[in-house]
Amino acid sequence: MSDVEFIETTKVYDDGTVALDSLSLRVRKGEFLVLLGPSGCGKSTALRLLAGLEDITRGEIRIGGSRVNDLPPGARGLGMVFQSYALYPHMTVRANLAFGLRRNRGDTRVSEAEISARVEEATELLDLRKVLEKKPRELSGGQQQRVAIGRALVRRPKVLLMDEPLSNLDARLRNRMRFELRRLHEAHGTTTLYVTHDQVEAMTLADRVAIISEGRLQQSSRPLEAYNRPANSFVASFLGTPAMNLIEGAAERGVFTAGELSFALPEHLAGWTGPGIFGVRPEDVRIGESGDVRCRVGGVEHLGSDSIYHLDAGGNWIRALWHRSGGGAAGSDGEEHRDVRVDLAVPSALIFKE
Amino acid sequence: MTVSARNGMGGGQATVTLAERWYVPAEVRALRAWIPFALLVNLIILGGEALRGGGTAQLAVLGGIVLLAVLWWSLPDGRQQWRRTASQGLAAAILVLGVLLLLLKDGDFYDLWASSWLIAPSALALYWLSTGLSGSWCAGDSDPRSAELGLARNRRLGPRLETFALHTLLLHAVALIVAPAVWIVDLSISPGNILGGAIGDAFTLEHFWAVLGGETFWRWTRNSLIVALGTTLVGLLLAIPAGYAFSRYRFAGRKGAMFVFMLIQMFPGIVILVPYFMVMKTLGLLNTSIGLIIAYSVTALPLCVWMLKGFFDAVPRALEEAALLDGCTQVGVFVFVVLPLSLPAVAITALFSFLTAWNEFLLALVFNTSNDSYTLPVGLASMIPATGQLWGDFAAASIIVSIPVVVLFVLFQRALIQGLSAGSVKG
Repeated sequence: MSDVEFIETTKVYDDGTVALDSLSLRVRKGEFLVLLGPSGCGKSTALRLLAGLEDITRGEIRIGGSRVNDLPPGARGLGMVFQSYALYPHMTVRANLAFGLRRNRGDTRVSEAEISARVEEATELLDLRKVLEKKPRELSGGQQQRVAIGRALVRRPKVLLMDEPLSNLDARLRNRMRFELRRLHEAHGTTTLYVTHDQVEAMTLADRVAIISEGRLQQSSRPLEAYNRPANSFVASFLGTPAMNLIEGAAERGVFTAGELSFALPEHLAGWTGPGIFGVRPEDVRIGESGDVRCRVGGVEHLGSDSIYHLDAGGNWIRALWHRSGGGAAGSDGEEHRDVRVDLAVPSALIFKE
Repeated sequence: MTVSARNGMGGGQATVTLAERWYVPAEVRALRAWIPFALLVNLIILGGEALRGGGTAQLAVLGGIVLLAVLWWSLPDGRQQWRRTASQGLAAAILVLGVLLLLLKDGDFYDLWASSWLIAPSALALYWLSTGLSGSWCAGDSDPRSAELGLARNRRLGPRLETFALHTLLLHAVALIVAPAVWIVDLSISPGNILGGAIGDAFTLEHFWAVLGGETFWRWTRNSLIVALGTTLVGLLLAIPAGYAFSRYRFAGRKGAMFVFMLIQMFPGIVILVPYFMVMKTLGLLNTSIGLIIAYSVTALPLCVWMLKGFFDAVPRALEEAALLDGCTQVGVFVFVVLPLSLPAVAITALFSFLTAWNEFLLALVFNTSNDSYTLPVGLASMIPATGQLWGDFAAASIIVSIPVVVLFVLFQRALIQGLSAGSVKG
C-alpha cells in the first residue's frame, strides 16, 4: 500500500508567506494525480514538501502509511522529473540513468548486473538506445525529457513526481509527450503526482485532479466531474477555454438579476434565494432568435472549427462558443453589432455562493 | 544605374547623384584615418631622438611631423584640383625626409623602423593620389557611373585596408611585449656577466650550466615548490568549502563575512608586513616554509573564495535537488555533481594560488634571513648585488623560473577560458 497522504500539511516561509495552508489529500496506489493551479498557488510547494526538498512547517506527510517528514529526500523512495530536467551535464545518458542506483549502499545496494538490466529496461521503454553514450547537451528537448523520466523510473520509485515536465517543450512536442506520458503510466502503473498550470494536461492525464488556489485545496475529483460540477467559482473559471461565464447578482423567486440583466433561473436552481454567482459554460450558451435574454454582438473570434462570440447583455459580457457542427444562425463574417437572443437558463447552469 | 540614368536625362549640371555625394575612395579614407596615427608614432620617435641627443635626425623627424599634419589637412576632397597637387608635393617632401633620415643613421633595426614611419605613409599617399580610380577621383573628374563602381570597389577594398592597419597595430603591440623577453633571452646566452651588446651576436650556455650546476639554485627551487604547492593545497582546501557555503547557505554573518573578505583584499601588503613579521617571529615560523604558506594562503584566500562562490552560484539548484532525490547526501551532492561541474573554476583557483606563492617577493624577503630558506624570487634578487655583476646568470635563472608558469598556463589554458566565462554550466 504505497499511497501518499498529506495530513493538514502547512508550509510557511521565513518571511511569513503561507505557501500551503493545511492541505489534506490522499493519493491512491497506482493513481495519476494532477495538482493544478495558477502559478504561485502552492502546487509546486506541495510537491517539494513531499520530495523532502523543503521542510514541513506543520502537519504530516505519509508515504505507504509511514511518516516521512524527517526522512532525507533520497530515502523516501521517490523519483522526480524536474521542469528543467536537471540532467547531470558532465555524465553520459547511461551514467545519468545509473547514477541513482549507484548511490544505494549497504542493504539496498544494487548489483552492477541489476543496474545494467534496469538501464536496459529504461532504454527500451523510452527509446533511448541511440543517445545512450551522449552527453545531455547533445540531446534535443524531447530526448532530454525522456532521459529525465528514465532516470526517475530506474529507481523503481514508490511515487513518481513530475514538476511541470512539459513546459519547456514546443507545442507540437508537448502534445506528443502528453500522450506518451499517459501511455507510460499505463505501462508501469507507478503512483504519480504531476504538477501543472495547464488545464489541458490536467484534463487529459489525470485519474484525479486536485485544484489548488492560494495555498488551499479547492476541489479534488475526477477531471470531468471538476469540469461539470465545480465546487466553487474559482474551479469553474479555471477549467475550460473559453472560461465559464460568471455573473454576479442576486436571485429572488426564481429570477436572477445582475444590473440591467434579468432572467428566469432554470428549474434546478429555482430554489436559490439571495446573492450568488450564476455560471454557464460558453458552449452551453445558444445564440438564436428565441431565448429570454436580449444582447448585442460586441465581437467575434473565428478559430476555424469554433467561433467565440462576445455578447453584451445589459452591461454584462457573455461569451458564447459556437461550433460549426452545431448549425444555427452563426459562423459567418459581418455579425458585429447585430442584436441576438440567448438562453442562459440551461440545464448545465450552476450557481455559486462565492 | 537607374538613378544616374534619370539624372543624365535631366541633364542638369547641378544634380549630383547619391553615389557621387557619398563616394570617397577607400584609399583616401584610409589616409585620413592613418596619418594622425603616423603623426603620433613620429612624435614618440621625436621624443626618442631628443633623448638620444638628436641633431640633424631630430630636425628631419620634426619636419616630417609638420609636413604630415599639413598633408592631412590638404588631403583631396574630390573637387578642388589644388588639393591633389599640394598633397602630392607634401607626400614627396616627406618621402625625401624619410630617406634622408635613413641615410643619416647607421641603419640598425630601430632606425629602419623609425624612418619607415615617414617613408611608408608618404609613399602610399603619393601612389594612391596619383594613380588608378582614387587618383582620378582626387583630380576631380568623377561621374555617376565611376562613383557607383567606386562604391562597390570600396566594399571589397575597405575591409582589406582595415585588416592591414589592424595587423600593423598588433605587430607593434606584440613587439612591445616580446622585446623584454628577447632582451633577457639574449642576456642569458651572451658570454660574460655584462649588460649591453647587440642582440644575437654570440651564443653560450655557460650561464644556464652555472645556475643549474649550483647547489643553491636547487635549494631555492625546492623551497619555492614546497611553498607554492603548500599554498595551493591549503588555499583549495579552505576556499572550496567556504565558497560553497557562501554560495548555497544562508547563515548569520554571511554578508558580513563576505564583506570582510573584500576588505582584507583592500589592504596594501606593505601595511601588514611588520605585524606579519612579529607574529611569525613569535610563533617561531621565520625561515620556514610553513610560515610563508600560512601568509600566502591568507592573502590568496579572499579572491579564491569569491571566484569559487561565483562559479558555484552558476550551478543550477535543480541539479543538486536531483542528486538529493537520487540518494546523495549533502556531501555526495557536492562531490559527485557540484565539484565535477566546477573543475575549471577549481583549476583557476589553484593556478592563482600557485602563482601568487611562486612569484611573491616581499614577504619571502622579510621572513627569510638565511640563504638556505630563500625562495626563487628572493634567491634571484640576491644574485644581483652579491659579487658585483651576475647579469648573465640572473637572466638564465629568471628564464628557468618562468618556465613552470608558462607550462601551467599552457596546460590550464582550456580550463582557464572556461572558468573565466563562468555561467557556462547549463542544466
